[in-house]
Amino acid sequence: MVATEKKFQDTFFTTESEKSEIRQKAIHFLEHLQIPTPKNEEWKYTNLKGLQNEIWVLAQNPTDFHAEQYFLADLPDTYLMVFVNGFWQEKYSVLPTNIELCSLSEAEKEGKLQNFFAKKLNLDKDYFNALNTAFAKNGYFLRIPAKVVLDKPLLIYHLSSGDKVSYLQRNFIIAESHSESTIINLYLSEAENTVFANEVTEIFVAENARLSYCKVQNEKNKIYRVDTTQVEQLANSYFGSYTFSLAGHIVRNNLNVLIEGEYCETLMYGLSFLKGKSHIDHHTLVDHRKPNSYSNELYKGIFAESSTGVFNGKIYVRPEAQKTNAYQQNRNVLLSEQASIYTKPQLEIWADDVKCSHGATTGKLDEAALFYLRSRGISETIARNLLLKAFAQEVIEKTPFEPLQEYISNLL
Amino acid sequence: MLKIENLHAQIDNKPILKGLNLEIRAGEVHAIMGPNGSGKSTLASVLAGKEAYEVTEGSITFLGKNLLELAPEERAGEGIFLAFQHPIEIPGVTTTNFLKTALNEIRKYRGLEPLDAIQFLKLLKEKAKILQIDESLMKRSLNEGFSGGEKKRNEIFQMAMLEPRLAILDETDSGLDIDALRIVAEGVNKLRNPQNAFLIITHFQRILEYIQPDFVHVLYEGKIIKSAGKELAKELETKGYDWVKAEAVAGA
Ligand SMILES: Nc1ncnc2c1ncn2[C@@H]1O[C@H](COP(=O)(O)OP(=O)(O)OP(=O)(O)O)[C@@H](O)[C@H]1O
Ligand SMILES: [Mg+2]
Repeated sequence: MVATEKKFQDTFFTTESEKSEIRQKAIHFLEHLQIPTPKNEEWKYTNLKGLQNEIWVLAQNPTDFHAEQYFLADLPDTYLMVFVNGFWQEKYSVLPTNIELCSLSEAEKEGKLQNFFAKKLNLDKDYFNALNTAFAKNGYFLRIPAKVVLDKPLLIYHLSSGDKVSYLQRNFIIAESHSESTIINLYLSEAENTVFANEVTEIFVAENARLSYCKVQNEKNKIYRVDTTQVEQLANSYFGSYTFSLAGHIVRNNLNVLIEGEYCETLMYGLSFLKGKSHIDHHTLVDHRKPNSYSNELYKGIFAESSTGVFNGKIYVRPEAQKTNAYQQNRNVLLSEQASIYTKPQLEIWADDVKCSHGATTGKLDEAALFYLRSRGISETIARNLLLKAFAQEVIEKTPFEPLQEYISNLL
Repeated sequence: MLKIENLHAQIDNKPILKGLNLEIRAGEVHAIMGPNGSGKSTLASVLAGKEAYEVTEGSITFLGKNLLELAPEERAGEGIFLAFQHPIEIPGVTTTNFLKTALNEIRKYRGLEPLDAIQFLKLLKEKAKILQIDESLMKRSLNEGFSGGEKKRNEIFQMAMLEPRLAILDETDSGLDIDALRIVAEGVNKLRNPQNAFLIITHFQRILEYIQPDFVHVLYEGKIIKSAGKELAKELETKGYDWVKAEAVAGA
């Protein structure tokens, strides 16, 4: 390990005497892992050098932070949780009574993580997963018991405070059989501070369970965010992922869905709308390991000014996964000469009786459409806006919670 | 109303219009005919302000203004309307939303108050009735998946909504069935008044039987080589263009 990694890592290092076996294993892996550089094929277009040039301090639980300033009037009538620097602010919580929810440390102490901790997570080759598994102390453990249907979405605010602060967060969501729920994560910042955040969320969707998982990433500070969402789906389950990336200095999203049962449905939608120098990297994987499942992925991106997008979408169809239907599309619009998108679909299919397709397009705003609208008296600005909204609409309209659709539409 | 003098226009350095003259007065209907590729749609695009076309010589004045200095949306505000030969499909934008935006943008340009939702819907229903347009089309994305005829009819419907001073119809009759052609023509006739004018680009004299033109022009190789009354359309239909071309060569 090089000195810079050592320095970066030391921020998180804790000296508790008792570490679980899995955490020790992660620490062990860390010894030969490094912060990935563009030499690593999976990090070719996302350079984390800036991360190593800062001197970081471990984020504290701020005492005087007013989370209310970020609460959205547009999203009323939801359950609520608030995290600041990864610390759960329980005083804001509005929660249903029919779920089990506790902090990460409590869950760990009571042995609730036994069957879940890093169960399907890539630890030995993924620096950030190992780092998080080794040292994360904050986060939540949420269990939606069998047959429980949440009547409202659970809204989770992720906020930050302090300059040059870094933090790790680790979450678990256990959606038991026949449960139904929608979780909406909002990552917001209007500040100018520099923050590093690494969040790992392990999601388990049991037989016949349904979970919709939304993320709105709109952090306008100098955020370095590495997010991993690791999903396991069992038979007849439904998992829908909706990721809206609207700002972010350097954001990397890893979304990995392992389909471990038959007749699953997996939807992965993404919409990036970036300006300035924002850089968003989506790496997704849907891994069909059992027959008869359906997955559909649509990621769209609009890139203005000097923003950059990366899309890497992997579909694996294992030999056993016959009768799989797997679709993937990535569509991008570049609004300026300085904006860029690197897109790479990666299909690996070992089964023969499957239906799979993928496509990627990148272009400018449709000039013919723009002229058509303008020739009807619509000013260029409004015409551009109409076309961009129309482009984005295809993803927005798939989002499960209508107020969220409107909130996002209004942000564009 | 419209005066085009010695218009030269090119696209990708290829000259298309080569010294075109045309004058249209309020209340008139002009028809332009001419072989494929002669520059009819180019003329329509230049009038509507498509930026890909470069005007290298000549002038266009519309209601006393230099049209070439105006952006496409300003031209629409002044009262120019182009019914496209190939209307564009725009997924995700409903016809209703599009038309409401367009109408209120034009009203803003003219210093008028915007129509509210109720006034707008009233107008929409009124015009839809004239053109016998199925209102379910309005809720769909603009032209997306519309049949060829539906697209053309939607163009004329937009024209009816926006009430232009000069409407340019680029082969609106192509692709319309016999009944649709009659409905569209009747729609145009209802909108005709002494203050507005029409420029109808067509290959067929049939539409000109419904909408009687005051003048018929032949456009060939970027110039108007013959102008006459409505009887010229019939003559072209039976005799083709060769004799006009020959006349033009002899005259030149
Ligand atoms: N981008 C371009 N580059 C070069 N030539 C072009 C370009 N666009 C159009 N043209 C040419 O300009 C000429 C005039 O085209 P235009 O569409 O105006 O013809 P038209 O009279 O409307 O024909 P039609 O009756 O078939 O509709 C054609 O020869 C066409 O190929
Ligand atoms: Mg044409």
